[in-house]
Amino acid sequence: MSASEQSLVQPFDFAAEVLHTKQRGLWAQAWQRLLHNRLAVVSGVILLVILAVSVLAEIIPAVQLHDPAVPDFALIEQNPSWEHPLGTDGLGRDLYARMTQATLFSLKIGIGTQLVILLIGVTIGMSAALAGRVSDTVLMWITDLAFAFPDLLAIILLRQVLFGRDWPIIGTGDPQIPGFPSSLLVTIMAISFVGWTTVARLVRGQMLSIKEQDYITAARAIGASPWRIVRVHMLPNTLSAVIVAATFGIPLAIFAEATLGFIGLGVPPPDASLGSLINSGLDSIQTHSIQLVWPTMMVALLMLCFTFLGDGLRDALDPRTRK
Amino acid sequence: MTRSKWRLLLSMFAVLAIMAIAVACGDDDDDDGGDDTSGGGGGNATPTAQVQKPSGTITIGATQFETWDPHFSDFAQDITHMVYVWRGLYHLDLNDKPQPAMADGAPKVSSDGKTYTITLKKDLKWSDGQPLTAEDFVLGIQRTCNPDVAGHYQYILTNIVGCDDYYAAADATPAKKAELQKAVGVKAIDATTLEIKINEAQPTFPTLLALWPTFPAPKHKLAAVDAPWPGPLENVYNGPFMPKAYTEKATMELVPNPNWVGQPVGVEKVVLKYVDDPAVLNQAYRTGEVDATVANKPELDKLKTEFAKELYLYPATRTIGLEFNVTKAPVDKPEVRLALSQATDRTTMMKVVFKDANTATTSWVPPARNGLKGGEYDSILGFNPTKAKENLAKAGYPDGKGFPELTLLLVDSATNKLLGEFLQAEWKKHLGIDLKIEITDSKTRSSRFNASDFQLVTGGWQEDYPDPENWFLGLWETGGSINKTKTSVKALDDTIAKAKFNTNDEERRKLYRDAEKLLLEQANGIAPLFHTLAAMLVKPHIKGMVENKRPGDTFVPGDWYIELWTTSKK
Amino acid sequence: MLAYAIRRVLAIIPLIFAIATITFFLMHSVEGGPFDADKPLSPATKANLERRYGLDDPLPVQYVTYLKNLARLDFGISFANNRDISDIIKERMRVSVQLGIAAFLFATIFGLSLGVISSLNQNGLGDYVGVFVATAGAAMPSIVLAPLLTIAFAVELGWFKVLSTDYGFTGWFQGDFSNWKQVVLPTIGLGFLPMAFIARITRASMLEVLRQDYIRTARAKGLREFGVVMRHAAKNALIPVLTVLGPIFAGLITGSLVIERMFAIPGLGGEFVRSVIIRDYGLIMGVTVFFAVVIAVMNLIVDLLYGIADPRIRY
Repeated sequence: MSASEQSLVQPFDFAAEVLHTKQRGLWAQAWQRLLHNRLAVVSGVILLVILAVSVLAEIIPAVQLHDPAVPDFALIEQNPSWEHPLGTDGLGRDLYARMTQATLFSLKIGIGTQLVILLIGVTIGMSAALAGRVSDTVLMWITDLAFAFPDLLAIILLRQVLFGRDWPIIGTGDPQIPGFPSSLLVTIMAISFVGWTTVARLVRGQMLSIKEQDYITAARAIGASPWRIVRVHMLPNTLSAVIVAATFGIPLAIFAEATLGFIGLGVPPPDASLGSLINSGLDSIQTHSIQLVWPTMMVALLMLCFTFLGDGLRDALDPRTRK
Repeated sequence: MTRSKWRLLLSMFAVLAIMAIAVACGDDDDDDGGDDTSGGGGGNATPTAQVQKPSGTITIGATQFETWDPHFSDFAQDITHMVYVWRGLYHLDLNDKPQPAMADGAPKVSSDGKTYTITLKKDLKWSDGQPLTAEDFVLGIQRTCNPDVAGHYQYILTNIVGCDDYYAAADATPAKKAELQKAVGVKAIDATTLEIKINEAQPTFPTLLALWPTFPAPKHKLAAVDAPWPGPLENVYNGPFMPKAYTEKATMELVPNPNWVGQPVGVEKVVLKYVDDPAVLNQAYRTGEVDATVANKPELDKLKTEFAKELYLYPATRTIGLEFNVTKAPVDKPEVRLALSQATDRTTMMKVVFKDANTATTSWVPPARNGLKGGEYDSILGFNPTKAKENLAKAGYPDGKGFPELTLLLVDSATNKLLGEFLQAEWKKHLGIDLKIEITDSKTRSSRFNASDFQLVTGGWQEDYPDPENWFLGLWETGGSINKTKTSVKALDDTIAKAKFNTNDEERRKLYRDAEKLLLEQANGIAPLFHTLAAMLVKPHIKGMVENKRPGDTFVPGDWYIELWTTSKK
Repeated sequence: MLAYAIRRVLAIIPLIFAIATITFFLMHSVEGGPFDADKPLSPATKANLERRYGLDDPLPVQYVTYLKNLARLDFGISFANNRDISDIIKERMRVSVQLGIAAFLFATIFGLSLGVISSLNQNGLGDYVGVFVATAGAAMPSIVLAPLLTIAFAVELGWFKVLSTDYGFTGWFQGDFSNWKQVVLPTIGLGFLPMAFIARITRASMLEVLRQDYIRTARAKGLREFGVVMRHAAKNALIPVLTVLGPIFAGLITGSLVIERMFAIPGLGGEFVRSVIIRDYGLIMGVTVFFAVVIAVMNLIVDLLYGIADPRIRY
């Protein structure tokens, strides 16, 4: 996906605006353009609502209506009713409450993964592009290595190295950061450690491409310091592509977590993610499929919203595609 | 433009919803009608079927075997393949009594019970026409005892003279190994007479002569005792069927073995389809791509109504329970173990977690195996929240106060997660304790279990051969070779020792019943939760399968009697 | 450019060596060995098994033996079934590669067509159908899509088979199309997501190109619309699409494990998961090295395509 973003964001025309407007103006303009894209705005609003409900549910139990962890064996696999708006699961737990819990967990996985990926990817990509030939070769070799390394093995291994041992931050037992239990952090680490290579390549390619642009040569000619060139010209231009990539990356991380659950590497109870709800729903696909429908719809909704938002962001950050 | 994109979004969700409804079209309430939960025994001990000329093809769902070598393997799916194509001296009937297969009549046993003399049927041949002699049976047992073959099931032959010594001589010189091989107590007196010497008179020994580690090995196909075992299409067979075509991970086609000497076979061809996922197999059963298969247990509620007359549920000889490492706090205290067992509502667990695909129990040995009715230990281990609370208080943790961290180790699967969540909720409710769950893959779990590096796991035993001794030997004696719960009870050790080579069968069985009581009265090492059921789907046009079902069936009912299967579908 | 390409090809060799080394030591540090059975083995059996497969040697010795064999492309035998690992990989690879290529062709052909049609009918019916398929495809994880396909098209409608154990096209070249009912669903199941992805990129890229001045010029010259689209627009619009095809292809070859399981296809993806789960060290190494080669080569192709697509990048 990243490769397309790279070629679509062609910074040439962009440069003219950069040279004539201040940074704040640039971002403000992008914001204005984003607000004019109704699909992106609607997607953003839906995402905010989902986020708000699931965050509120974690803080104020009343929003969940029921306790997601408390089973009621008299009410297993119920279809939706007034009492249980989304029905109940195999242990008689309220599916709406479980969904709020799982959605928040999955959003944390999606966003957390992208943050870690950005941190690693931008650092390595930028260093490779700017710090000279030797470091470029070495860093790209490491990137190739990480890219060609089988994800599955890396993930199993990371889980075993990280899980159940008393590492700082991750830890065992009660979460050391409230709301971020160790299973969540381990999943984030595992997915991002095998997923940063694309962003690193994207950043490097973008920066190499910008480095050759006329306006950079011009900036250099008028004596701008290298750091200023990076900060004012290169980073913002790169960032727009990276933000777009991250927006598309969030639902992909949620997908990846679901697949991990499928091959038997999911999050342990009592934590639940959309992936783990889907996987337990697959077992009842023939008997109580509503259990599969909700998490699938939520994953689909998140995917659509992040995609439309990503499209909107791309259009907004690249003025040339303006209508 | 925006309006139409809105419409687009809406229609998107409409389609998702329609797909959901299409899938949901079978959301009916469950109904217990039609399933058959009667025991494996039945009336007649010798399986029979009326057979004319073999006709028709039966396609069954199966699991890819790991290895084709009966003297090496210990996987259930491998063993099932092996009884399709090979047979030993004896074969177990529906009452698990060994009946002559390649042997001509019962073994002659010496007065001290330590020497078995067995005569083979006349003119036995392998599927390639070569004679099958006593030498082939000698080679088979020698292979299982051979250290370089490293057979997984050598342990069941340790009573054969010299078998353990040979097996332990991995690093010996070839000459020494050859010497030890000859010293193994199994000899061919002549082409049709076999003599086996054992260390102690063992009442269960004839049963072992019906199992795969004693199957014959074709001497004309093996250059040496530890030579590689030929693959399915290169090997020779003495069972009812033999492979004709085989693609790993895809299919195997079995056709009648022309030199089979038992009951004539009923079908022209049996096709095995290798599928990993039982849910997929059930779909294939719905479309008729397979005629018989295991049922996907999570779907059981639906299958009970959908295939009321084709679904068979019957006891398998497998017990699963809470296994405690009795050296680790807090489960080193008997009161804690009893409290955990008594705080577990097994009946609800069966219904909620397993959709009644298993039967709740508090017994270790399946009732059919030791002559009890079941329920003998309900008053000790069964669901009783009041007693559970008392026991926990006696252990020093009233209402769960000050209860140390307790972790349950589970292999990741949707059902296991449900099981873990169930226990979490139950114990929180009745005992006020927090159970931690660690989910791992199966090898990690096994490795921790084998190193006794756990507090609590769910696990148990799947029977290797039909006798109560198989449920105790090595498992529960102090220092037993596979005693990973570190169970150590003096009285239990003594009872098992007394039972082990006891030739008085009635007394022997009683001693094992006593041993079970000693094991369970303080939940030493295990608090049983359930016996598993075999759940199978068989199309009505097939006969000879369900009539011959045994607890050990893996792919379809009647796995052990493939020769009796017939189909009326042309 | 050529020098760069040669340098990159040569760089694959140390890359594979590094991956093999890391995998070897990581694999052995993962908890649980191949003979930690569900049902514990007796100590004597475990010792004999470890000896049989050379696992009783110290790790560095095993490593050296392993490297020596690797240089001869000999991966040893599988602990589980005593078969030659090279044979297993060869057999499985045939299936996975056929599945991957079929899904790739499906994804590319339909993805490109959908994208181009959408862009030409911007905001028309064709566009909405195209956008809808592309979005829906991307919104459903394959672990849900695959069972839905089975239930709808195999169980309910009976058009196709549930089991695709005979997946493959080798028979087709001899005129034997008997397994056509087995190849359709897995191909679609695997190819749907990349198809949606390709359609999205193609559409965006086409819209971009159609706005360019030279297209306006071409139209102004009075060229026929078809010629404009095919000769001028599509050619340029395909460049960004080309660059994503490499990773997509590699992903299809190495990432088919869900589809393989759901349709009972004997491929390499399933074998890899299994090898990791049962700690079949030789098989893990074999498949890892094979996958690494596939990914590295695809990666190289993409990087070279970057150079062609954007001449401003210099090496």
